[in-house]
Amino acid sequence: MTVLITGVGAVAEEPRPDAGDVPWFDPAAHLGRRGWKYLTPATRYLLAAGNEALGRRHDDPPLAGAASERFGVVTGTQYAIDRVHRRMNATLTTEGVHGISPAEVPGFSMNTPGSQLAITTGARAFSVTLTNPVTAGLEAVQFAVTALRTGRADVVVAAAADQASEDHGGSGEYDAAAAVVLSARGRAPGTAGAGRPLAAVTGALSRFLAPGPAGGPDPAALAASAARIAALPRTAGAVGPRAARAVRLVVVAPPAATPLALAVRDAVTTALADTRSMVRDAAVHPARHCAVSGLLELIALARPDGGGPALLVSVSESGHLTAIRIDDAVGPEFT
Amino acid sequence: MTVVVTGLGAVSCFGSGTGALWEGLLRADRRPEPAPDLCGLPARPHLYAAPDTGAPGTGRTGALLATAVAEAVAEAGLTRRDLLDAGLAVGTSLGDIDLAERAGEPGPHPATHRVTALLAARFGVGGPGQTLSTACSAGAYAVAWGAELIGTGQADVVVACGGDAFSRVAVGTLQRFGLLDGECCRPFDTHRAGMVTGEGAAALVLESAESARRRGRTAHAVLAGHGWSCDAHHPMAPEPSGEQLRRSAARALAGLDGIPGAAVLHRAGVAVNDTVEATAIGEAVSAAGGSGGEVLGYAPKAVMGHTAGAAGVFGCVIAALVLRHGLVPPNAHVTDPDLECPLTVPLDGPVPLPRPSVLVSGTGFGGNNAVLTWRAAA
Repeated sequence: MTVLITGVGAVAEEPRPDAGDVPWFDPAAHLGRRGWKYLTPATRYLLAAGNEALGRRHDDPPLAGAASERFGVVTGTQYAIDRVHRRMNATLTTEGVHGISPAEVPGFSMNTPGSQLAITTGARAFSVTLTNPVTAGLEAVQFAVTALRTGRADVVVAAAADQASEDHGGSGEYDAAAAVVLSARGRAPGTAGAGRPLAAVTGALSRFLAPGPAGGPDPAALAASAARIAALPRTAGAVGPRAARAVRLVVVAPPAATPLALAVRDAVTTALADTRSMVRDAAVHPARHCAVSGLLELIALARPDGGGPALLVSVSESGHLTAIRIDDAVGPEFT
Repeated sequence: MTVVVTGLGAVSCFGSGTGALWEGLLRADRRPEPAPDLCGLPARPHLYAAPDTGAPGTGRTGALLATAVAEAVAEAGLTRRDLLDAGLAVGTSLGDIDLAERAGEPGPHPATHRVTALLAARFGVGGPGQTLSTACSAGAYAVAWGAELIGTGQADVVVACGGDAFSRVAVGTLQRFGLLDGECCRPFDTHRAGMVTGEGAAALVLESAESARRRGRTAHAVLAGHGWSCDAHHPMAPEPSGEQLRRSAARALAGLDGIPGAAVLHRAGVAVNDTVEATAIGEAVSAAGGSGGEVLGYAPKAVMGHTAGAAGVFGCVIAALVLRHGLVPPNAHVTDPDLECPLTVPLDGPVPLPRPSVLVSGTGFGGNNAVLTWRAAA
């Protein structure tokens, strides 16, 4: 089965030294004038990115009937409850329970952004929220690919949303949401989003690299994980000449995980060489958008003009690793 | 691919170990105690508190999870080498939320959802590792996701677990929404008035039948099927018709030959939710060719509280224990039985399991439904 990226959407805060207190995101521009007042910022970002990826307007009716039962949502987030929880905790210890507005109650649960996206779009196959720091966004893609392969849905929005724990990049992290629409080729007639797929996801995996005695990853575990990443399928179908093309390698990690990211980059490059694959532009990019970072990189790689084969690896300081392999969705099998 | 259970672990208000859990369920008399905090209420709310397990973890949920996982891994006889490529699927709603709720610690939110990394590092689990936070069905989804990892060849062995501990914010907000019972959790009593939170962690070692055979391990239970769905209706309330929950139950039942002997329900004492669930399960059983009255309904939350992200894993651990002992424990704290439930409800003592199969249902905020069916190992 081939998994295609048929739509993408993103909103992301970038460093703005002179912005003052001007908000970077205008909810009304994305979500209309009403209906979002009681939604948390991360939820608003997610709805904006999800709607864009699906090519729908905020006030389009949700999917219904059999199609909605074949449509799922999976959302990565690490800070969904951060601000709300801090505020509620302070309110409960000072004013008591009546200081909390019932309208803001859903904000205390990590799944609320994803659930709101499911309600808005009519996703009834499943709505799952993943919460590993940093890697949860790309894990959403791994989860979606797995669920498409096991037949739990025909179309899945893999998304991520976070509001950084401090404003204006104070913690070195910024707000963002991103979404990619993944479809099982041949099972999703009339899918919303791009008429032509942007890329094919050919493989996905998740690993954990426990710190070794010296602090860095255990060399044997690193080599084993790199070998698995290098062995991810190159194309969904037969291996043709395209498989010989050089693979772009991007490792995305927060600054504290840079040593691990460099080790992963080198190990994967070595492992690809062992499989006679050429690597091009091997790079480590900073993850500045919390759990959304990996998805933003994926969207940058999945270009409709043909970015070529690419391996994207997201790593966290605590040792989680998620790898996604994509290739161009062109050629006879995709037309 | 057949997925089996080869190890179980639990820590709950009954203490550490699945033995203590089973004994507590059979006694069916546990009541909650005052929570350690007012949670913004006039009087301390109730809590089915778990003991301090003393296991190293940065927060309380992580410590509870480590205790449950250690028991399951030991029972399954897994070595460090076996765990190098194993998967880890953790269901938790709020993670190590106690770290964020300590008084007098302003500033950025600490990393509450790092419990999976801590477990993976502690036990040396090197394969796929995810934290699932689908509210109160997180545990059911963690087990289901673990089965998907095995079914798609991403791991041969997966430690699926769930845990949650006391949270001031969870209790306060549930109270604000009128979802807490001020007396105790009594899901089968007509006077039920809401849930009562509980603490705990539960764990299952899932593996392919081939892996269990290769390792020479006995299977406790076999996963027969699992169905997922989302109501896409409301952030906190279930869709009243229960159509999506029924659909996930039907998919789970499709893996069974016939109807289950018992159903370990999500049922938490919230009347509307309880009714939607029992009706949906009853209808799915009818559609599978049986009648609800042939299935024994069981609601463990009466004696252990709502353990949030752990609840679905507890449901599966309890299903395995029910299959092992061939008994369904009695439902507790029922003065005036809810006659609307289409299932048969054991009240006075344990009842023999009529057929060697058990359904487990998990529902949560956002209308996140997951239903699993288990059968006895051959």
